[in-house]
Amino acid sequence: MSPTGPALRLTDLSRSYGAVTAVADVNLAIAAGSFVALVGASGSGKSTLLKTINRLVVPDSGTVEIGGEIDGEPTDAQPDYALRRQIGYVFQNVGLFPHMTVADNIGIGLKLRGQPDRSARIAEMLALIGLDPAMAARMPDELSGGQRQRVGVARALAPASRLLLMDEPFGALDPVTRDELGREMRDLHDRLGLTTIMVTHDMAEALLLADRVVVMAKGRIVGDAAPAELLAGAGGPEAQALVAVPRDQALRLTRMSPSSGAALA
Amino acid sequence: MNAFLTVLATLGHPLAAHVVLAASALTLGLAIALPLIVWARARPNVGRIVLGVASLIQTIPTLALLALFYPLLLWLSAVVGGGIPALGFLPSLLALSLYAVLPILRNGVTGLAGLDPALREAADGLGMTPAQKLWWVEAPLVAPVVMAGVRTAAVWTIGGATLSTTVGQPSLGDPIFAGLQIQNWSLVLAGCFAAAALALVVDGVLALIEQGVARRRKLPIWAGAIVLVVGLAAAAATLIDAGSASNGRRTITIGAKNFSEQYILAQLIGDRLEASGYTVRYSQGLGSAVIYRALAAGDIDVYVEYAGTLWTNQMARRDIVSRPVMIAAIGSWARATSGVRVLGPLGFENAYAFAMRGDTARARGIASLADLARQAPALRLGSDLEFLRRPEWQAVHAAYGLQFAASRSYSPTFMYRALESGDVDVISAFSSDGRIAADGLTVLTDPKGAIPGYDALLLVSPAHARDQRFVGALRSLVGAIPVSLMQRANYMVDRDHDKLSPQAVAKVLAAQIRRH
Repeated sequence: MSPTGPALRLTDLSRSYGAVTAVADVNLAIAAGSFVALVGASGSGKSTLLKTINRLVVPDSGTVEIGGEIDGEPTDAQPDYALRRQIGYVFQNVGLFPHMTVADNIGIGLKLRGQPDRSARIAEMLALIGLDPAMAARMPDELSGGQRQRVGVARALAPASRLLLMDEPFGALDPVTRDELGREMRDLHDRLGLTTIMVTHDMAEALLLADRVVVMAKGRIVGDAAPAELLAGAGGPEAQALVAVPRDQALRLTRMSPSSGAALA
Repeated sequence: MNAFLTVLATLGHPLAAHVVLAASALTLGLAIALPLIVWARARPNVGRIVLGVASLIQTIPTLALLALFYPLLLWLSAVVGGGIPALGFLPSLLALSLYAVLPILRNGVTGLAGLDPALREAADGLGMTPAQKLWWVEAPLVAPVVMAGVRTAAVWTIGGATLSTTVGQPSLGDPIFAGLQIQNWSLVLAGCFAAAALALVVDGVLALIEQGVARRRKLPIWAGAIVLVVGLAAAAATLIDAGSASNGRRTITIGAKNFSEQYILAQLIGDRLEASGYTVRYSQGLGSAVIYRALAAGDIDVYVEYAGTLWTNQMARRDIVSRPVMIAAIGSWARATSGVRVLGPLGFENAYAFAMRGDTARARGIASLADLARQAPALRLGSDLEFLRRPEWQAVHAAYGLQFAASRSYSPTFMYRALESGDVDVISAFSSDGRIAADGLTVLTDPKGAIPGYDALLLVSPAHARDQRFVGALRSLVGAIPVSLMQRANYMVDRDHDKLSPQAVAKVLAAQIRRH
């Protein structure tokens, strides 16, 4: 096994829905082991672009090449579902199966791969995401929102996927849980040596977690830079407009806090 | 209350037949609905179309749907060269199955459409094949909703199965329909009670299974399934028991229309055949339009028909001939057109007859229709609901020039009451009706022979037309029942108090025939 997740290359990707162009002629190379955030407003095409990678969306034209152990070219011998079994996928609505226990939810990817003895791996995944082993027998509706998304992550990673796609993974969580889970995901990414691509509309989250921020608007990439570069003013006007919002908020918060007020005085 | 309990105790066989029919229809309904649900699951247009068709079928009254399957199956049988039974189990099964489809289909289709889209996205994202998505995610999640549909379908099917009596399938409708016709409320109540109790029990058991499915508990599912299987097995065993008593011989089906005389005669014929070693069952409450065709097609083996009915309805004759000539003509017509054998007249007529109160008739000096015609302008006629539209009335009207002061239509029971109370002076009675003798009515003679003969004829299906043992068992009934005996027998069933069942009256009648 290679030390990190696979590299990706998206070439000339396009996808439209009727008259609406969701992804327009996108080219993007992603280095093995990187944590990339796809940022943009609603309807910018970031989710569609993400889903072309595991073929939940089939592009009208263009190619997706996935390196490493993952065979990215769907053929007759490898239908879409076989590709998806090799790629972790986490999304905002989680989609835990309500009729299965936490353990069965985590183990479902292993079951799909025909792995008979799953309990050891399930226990390992529970430990990895910081859930009590006793949770294994619970049903999803007995969990909190944060616990559910943790289980969603465990389900995505259980088959040892090294490529993780996340579509607004923390969108439905409260700010405290959201921050906590974000840090944990970054930590998991580093420990497991994943290649992670995360779609978010929250530039602050992208800046804090990712190695690289790709900004999309109207189906095109309009900015592509590391967080430090973005904060230094690089990456183009659309990216800077998005960076301005959290920076301005942070500034206002700093001014409001009593300690900084004392310092200014 | 005692009568009710006594009747209830005799419902074992109809109940067993009812259970087997309803269970078969429900199973077939499931077998039709489930593939349709799967087919429609990713195709909203297909879902709309199949739901539309199922809803359309639901708007057809059950009784009409059952009746429609009769000509359909006759036609189908003719197309494939025979062998498809058009009466009994098959049409009942098909009609009830169609009814069972809708609630299951609707719950399944809407249940799948209402499933959280995130679950499908998760299943796809994990790399499930379409089949895995169906079996591991969609089916278990929609199963409780489908089970709720199965419960609805079960209750409908058990209720609707009572109507299968009208196409000759034994069911709990037998006592209900027979009881309604002969105004024996114990029979009606017992049938309704048994059907309702069956529906409640099955619904309860299915509710248990539904809860088990919803909560993913195996115990209630197994317990419910065992109760259903044991109940069905017991019902099937009852039917097989009754069937094996025949030692593999073919069961004889005796047909009857829907009034007391027909029930009594069917029972009388059945008792004779059983005494000769045959196994019999009854297909009662058949309509006049269906029963002769059912005999010709072999769906029933024997029944009693009235000469005038065949003459005017089946043969479309309007001329009036003497009764012996008419019977002979019917015999050769039946043999030539369908192979049905007219074994012979039973000895009485059930004809349309004009009847008056004995005292009125004597006071006015009326004994015949000719006498009546002279005084009719001062008299009022009470008739049953269809008489004034029938060819018999036109014939009498033309022959005697009858002109009444007024005429009113009644259901039979109230027609007799109206005559008794003097609201009307003359009624259109049936000559074998027991109330003629009991109320001391005078039946007017028909000197011009305007009304065709309504001799009760014993008809035998083509299959048994030359069966010596079969014909031998029934031949002694020919000419054995004078009208006075039939009137008394009918009265025992029709009277308001101390009613007897047709079964009991058949025994009494049999004893009286032997004494004659």
